[in-house]
Order: sequence, then structure tokens, then C-alpha cells
Amino acid sequence: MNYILLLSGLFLGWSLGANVAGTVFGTAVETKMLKFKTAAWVASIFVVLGAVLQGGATSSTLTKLGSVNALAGSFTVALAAALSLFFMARIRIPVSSTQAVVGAIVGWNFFTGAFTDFSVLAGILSSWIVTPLLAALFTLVIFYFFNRYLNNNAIHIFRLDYYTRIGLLFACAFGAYSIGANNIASVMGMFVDASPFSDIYIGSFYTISSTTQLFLIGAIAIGIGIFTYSQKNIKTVGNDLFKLSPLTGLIVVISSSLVLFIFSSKSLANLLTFLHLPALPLVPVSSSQAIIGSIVGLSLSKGIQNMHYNVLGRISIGWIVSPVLAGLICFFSLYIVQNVFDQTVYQPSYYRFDSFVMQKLEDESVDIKKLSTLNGRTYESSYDLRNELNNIELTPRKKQKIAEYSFLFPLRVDSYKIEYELEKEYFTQEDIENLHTLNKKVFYHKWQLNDALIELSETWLFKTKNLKNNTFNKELHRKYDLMYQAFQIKAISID
Amino acid sequence: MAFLNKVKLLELKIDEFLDLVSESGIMFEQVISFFLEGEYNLMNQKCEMIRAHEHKADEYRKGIEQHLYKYTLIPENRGDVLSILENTDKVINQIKTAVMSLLIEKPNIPDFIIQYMQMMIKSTNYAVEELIKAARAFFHNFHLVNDYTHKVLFYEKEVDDFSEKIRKEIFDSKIDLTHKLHLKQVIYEIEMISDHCQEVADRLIIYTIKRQL
Repeated sequence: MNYILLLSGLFLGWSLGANVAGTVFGTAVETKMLKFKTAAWVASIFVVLGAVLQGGATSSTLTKLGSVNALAGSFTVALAAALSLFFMARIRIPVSSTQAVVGAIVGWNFFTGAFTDFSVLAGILSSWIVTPLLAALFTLVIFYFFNRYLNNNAIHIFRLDYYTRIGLLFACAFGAYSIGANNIASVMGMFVDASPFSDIYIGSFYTISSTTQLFLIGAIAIGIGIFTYSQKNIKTVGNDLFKLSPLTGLIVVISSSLVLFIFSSKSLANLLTFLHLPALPLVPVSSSQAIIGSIVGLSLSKGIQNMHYNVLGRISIGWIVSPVLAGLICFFSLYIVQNVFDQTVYQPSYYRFDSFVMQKLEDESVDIKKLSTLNGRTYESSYDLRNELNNIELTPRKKQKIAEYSFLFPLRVDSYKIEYELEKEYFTQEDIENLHTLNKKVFYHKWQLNDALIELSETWLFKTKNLKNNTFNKELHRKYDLMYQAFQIKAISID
Repeated sequence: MAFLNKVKLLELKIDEFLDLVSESGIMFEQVISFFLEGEYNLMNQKCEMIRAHEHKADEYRKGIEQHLYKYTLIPENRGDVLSILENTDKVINQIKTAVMSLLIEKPNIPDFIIQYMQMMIKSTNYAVEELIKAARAFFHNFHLVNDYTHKVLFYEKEVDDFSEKIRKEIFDSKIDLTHKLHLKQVIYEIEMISDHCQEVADRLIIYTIKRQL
């Protein structure tokens, strides 16, 4: 049953493959620069590589937005996104799976009463504005250099054709890799918390995590989508909006792939952080938004009069309609799946008010006298907790704090996991030693682990929020997230 | 690398094709000069060479066309390139037609048109030369195409002007009407060479705009 529920994710992957192929190699195949089979093979292989090697970065953003923690819930979220995509495709509006998935996850949050982290949502929404703008900017820059190079260098028409072919082949590979890395989170991200797979250990040195396995089958579904259905869909959005030549198509694919890449590259984010530059958030962004942005950038370079504004307007409306539609479909589908098919669409999130939590809240200057009715109680959903907190006069910020500290998230520090499962490249030697000191210790709340580490060393303390400390705090946040991921215990007793 | 070698081979073939047209243009001027001087043997040799060039150019054109389709090269510009080659081939065909008419018909050229005719032939030759430069630029460095096409158009207009003057002189003269009509036909065939050049130049101008990034 568990595996059958993955089908909607695979369906979403398949439809993504069928749609994104046009954006990655549509121009190359349409202009007969590459054969469909060559392009499809290259794209499929690199989608899988991107998803498996670099896919994890953006999925954590989606799980932060809404931790869909039951397989039937993930099934419904993916199905709602796929149906929304299908509907938009029927009316010939190119939309992205990412937008549909984000809409569907928010729909799941509304249905289950889970908190929607608006800061994460704002990050994703802002990326939808930044993506096309950045893609347009990249296109303007790349176009300028291409044009300058071609004007200053006499390249024979056949030689240029040859170089363009090679360029398109590499751009196709790079584009597919970036899509695999960035968009796999949209396809399989909602299954991460409810994965039916177990980690596979190869000897004692290498582990294929359940997430990697999920991403692998998701990427294969994308590859199958590319092979089986993309040929019908290959007429690119580009040709509707602006006629592309092989060379301009190459510029568009390079710039849009670059945008997808920078939104999914951990290494680049680390490098920017290291250089004390603001790093872009690692969020799943839309390949079609990137490509549309690139085409707009190209039309700005070549003369804006060639742009078909009615098509652009239609596409922009689609970007708003798609997530809203996916959210609505998800909300109503969850109701049907839960009540008609009697499936669990979410696992309860527990909020426990024990003496430790009350003490912590007091330390954090929350007036615990107001929380006397909560003391010793456990709530089985954020919805229940929110209802309870609504009866108490507290600021929204304090309520958020109470939910955060009472949230039950059992963790067990384990030397084996420190050695083999934790991504150690983000930790210093001193950090690792601190963690080993806590070996075998169990914590029921995330903050308890944080406090235990702070007791060992002050390097675990967040610094005052300002631009100077931004990089340090971001890195520390990442360290904590990686530890929660590695040390989480799934089976717990709440008593 | 094999694909790159095919590309290089094609570049070579196109250059050789254009060389044939250019050489035919030079030989055309020589043929007229021999004809006017009554050097029929030399004229005959040059005509044979032009005929051989024309035949070879046809072979090259067909080979290039096949090569382009077989390896799906420059799909975006293939139609344009083929059109340029076919129309440039018409120039060498017309050169052959014109010289063969002179060789076979041996028209009696009256003295009063010789000077104009020589000037017309010179301009025709220039038109062909500039056309070949424009065509080469289209393949090698298309930013230079307009530097040559405007010269083609200039020389074509000059040929038209000379042709008009020659025909006026012919029909104002007292020679036989049959002679007049024969000379008119000869002049028309020479004039057609630069007309074909103009046709290719016009296409080159459009295709160059298309090739711009």
C-alpha cells in the first residue's frame, strides 16, 4: 500500500519530465540542432544525477513549509499538484510543478491545522519574483558577451553551427542537472518525512538514505516522462512568446539553468557565505519561470517590440492561479481521502507541557501563570494547541515561542550516526567532540539538545541578529537542522 | 572530431565553389577582350575553361546541398545558404551563356559602342567580384556583408546605365534592324549577369539581418 501511494509522486515526476523537456532542449530539437533521442538521453541521465547528487538542498525548504508526515497526505499533495499542472497544461499555460506543490502543501497545512511558516513561504514566494528577474538579468549579460564575441571574432557559419550544437548539448545536460537538483524536491519532497524506504547500508562506509532512494525513483519518473511524452510537448513556451534561434535558445537555456543551479547549489551558497556575501536561499524554483524570465531578457536585448504581451500576461496569471488551484484541490481531496477512503493524511504533532518546558518558558520570560491550564498536558496537533492558546491572552510571538518549545521532537545522540550519517563537512572538530560527549543522551525537545550543547561550548550560541553575524547564525542554523535530521528518533512514547 | 572534419570539408567546398565563380568573372572580361581584338583561338580556349568551371560549379553545388541535408548542418540557415548557392550558380551559368552566344553567333560589334561595352564589361566583372566577397563574408564574417553588397548594387546600376546607353546608340544608328536586334540580345545577355548578382546581393542583405544575434 505504502508503495502504491508513491504513485502520485511518480505521476507528478512523469508530468514534470514531459513538461520541462521543452524548456531544456525544446529549442535544440525544434531547430533540428539535436536529435530528440540524443537530447532525451542526455537530459534523463543528468536529471537523475542532479537529483541524487544535489537534490537534498531544496527539499529541506519544502519540509520546513509543511512537514507532510503521512504517506496518504503526501499522495494527496502530489496528486493535487499534478492535477493542477494537468489542468493548466490543458489550457496551454506553462506553469511550474514547484508552484503547484507549494500551493498543495499550504492546502495540507490548512486542512491539518499545521502552522504555515510564513517566513519560509515568503522566502519561496520571493524566489518566484527573483527567479524570472535574475534569469532576465543573466540573459542580458550573457547576450551582451555573446554578441560582443561574435562581433569581434569572425567565425565561419558552419563552425558556429558546430559550436552551437556542442553548446546546446552541454546546456541540455546542465539544464537537466539543475532541474534534477532543484525540482526533485517538488516531486518527492513531500514524501521525505513519510518515506516507505529504509536506509541501505553498503558495508560500513556508505549509506544510501531513504531520501536518496526516493529522489532516485522520482528522477527516473522524470526521465520516463521525458522519453514518453515530451516529444508531443516539445513546442516550447519560447516559440509562443518569442521566436528563438539555436544560438538565442542556447543563451536562454544557459541563463535559466544557471538560475536553477544557484538556487540549489549548497557549495555556491557556502562559497557566498564564506565570502561574506548574501547567499540566495536554497529553494525549489520554477524552471518555466526561469525560462520565461530569460526570454523576456532576450527580448529586451533584441527589441521589446517582438514580445507577445498577451502570452506573457496569460503566463503571469497562470503563476498566481496554479498554486491557489493546487491548494484548493489539495484541501478538498484530503477531506475525501480522509473521510471517504479512511486514510491517515497526517500524523499528529505532539506538544507537551512538562516541567522542563514550563521552566524553559519561564526563562524565556513567558508568563507561565497564564499557562497553568496547559501544565502537564499533551496536545496531539498544532490545531488543538492553537485553539487552546487562542483562549489565553498572549502576543502572537509568544504563542509561536510556546509552540516551538513544547513541540515534541525526540532525539538521541549517537556516535555511530555522528560518524556515518551526519554531514560532517559543516562541523568543526570541536563541534564533533562536543557531540560525542553527548553520546547516548536522549532529548525530547529540540531546544534541549541546543541547551546541552551551549553548556559545553559557547560556540553553539546564536549571536545578536545583525548583518555582521548573519553568516554565523545561518551556519549554526544549518548545523542544528542537520543534527535534528540525523538524531531524530521516530518511535516514541509520549508518556 | 569526425563531425568537425565534415564541417571543415564543407567550408573548403564552398570556398572552392566561390573561387570558380570569381575566376569565371575574370575570364569573362578576357573573353570579351579577345573577341573585340579578333583573337578567336584564345577566346575559344577561355570559353572552354568557363564551360568547365560552370560544370564543376554545378557539381560542387550539388555536393554541398547533399552534404548539408545528410548531416543536417545549419538547419536554421540551410534554406538561406542553399538559395545563395543556387543564385550564385545562376551568375556563372549566365556568364557561360553570354560567352557561348558570342562564340557561336560572333556578332559584328560596331565601333561606336565598343567603348561603352568595355566599360559595361568592367562593371559587370566588378559586380561579380564584389558579390563573391559578399558571399564569402556571409560565411566567414557576416558583419562585413553590407560593405560589399552596396558595391554590387552600385556596379549593377552602372551596368544598367551602360546597357541603356548602348541600346540607345544602337537604335539611333543606321544599321540594319536585324543587326540592331541581334546586338540588343547580346547586350541583354551580358546585362543579365549583373542582374543575377543583384538578386544574390538582395538576398544576402536579408539573410545577414536574419543571422544577427
